[in-house]
Amino acid sequence: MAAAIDYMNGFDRTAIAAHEQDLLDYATREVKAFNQFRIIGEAPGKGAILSFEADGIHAHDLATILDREGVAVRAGHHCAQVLMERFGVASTTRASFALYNTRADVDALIAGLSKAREIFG
Amino acid sequence: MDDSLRELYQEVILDHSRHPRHFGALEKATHEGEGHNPLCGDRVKIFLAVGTDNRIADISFEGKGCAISQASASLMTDMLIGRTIEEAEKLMGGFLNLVKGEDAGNLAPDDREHLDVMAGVSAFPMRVKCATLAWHTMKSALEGGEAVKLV
Repeated sequence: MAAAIDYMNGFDRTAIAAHEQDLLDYATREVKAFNQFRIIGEAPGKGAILSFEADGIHAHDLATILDREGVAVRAGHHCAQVLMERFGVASTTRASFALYNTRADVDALIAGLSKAREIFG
Repeated sequence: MDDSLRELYQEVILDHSRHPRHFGALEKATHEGEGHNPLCGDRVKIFLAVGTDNRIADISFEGKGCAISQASASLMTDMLIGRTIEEAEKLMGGFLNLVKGEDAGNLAPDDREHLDVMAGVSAFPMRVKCATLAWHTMKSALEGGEAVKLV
């Protein structure tokens, strides 16, 4: 824990936030441009996480494919079953961005999504 | 593409998940079973009609989940209808071993071939439970376990 705090203190927090926001904006644009995935949650000023669902592909199938492509995401109900039920969403796939991620990671995510579409049609 | 992915999501699996066989409730069910995997949210309900000759006359299922769980349930109905309970139990045991990457045991070559489409799951430990949910539920329905309601 102390090591984590020391590590974080070595960076300018505003710069971290700007970096994460840039990745989120880029990923949001790219996933939208892909046009086959519905983004869930676009409140202004939200953290650097991107949740989405796909027609005809369950989040766990998508996560398995992304995993094999070297992209780690969280998938499923995220322990938020009540909220998911309220919005009629069965499961989502969620990518999170942090200071160590780059735009190349977002590109890998998009390539993985394209692979999933290749498999599931 | 990654061969293990191709093996997991082969055409037969995708076809079963897109067009599940025997989907829906069974009116004259003699046994029912419910299965739930709270960790991933998959749910399945199995309906069975067992005749006085100890043979499974019909099976159907309802459920929601990933492609693997739906395909596995669909394939199971196809494979178990018409079998005696003893035959079904042997096949179920073989299947459960197969998806865990263990020896499927002494199955008829034809059965082995049909089950083989699910063998790719064994390379994905996180997904084994998706494949086994319907089969465990079926087993439990036949054995009258706690989650089972005999109608």
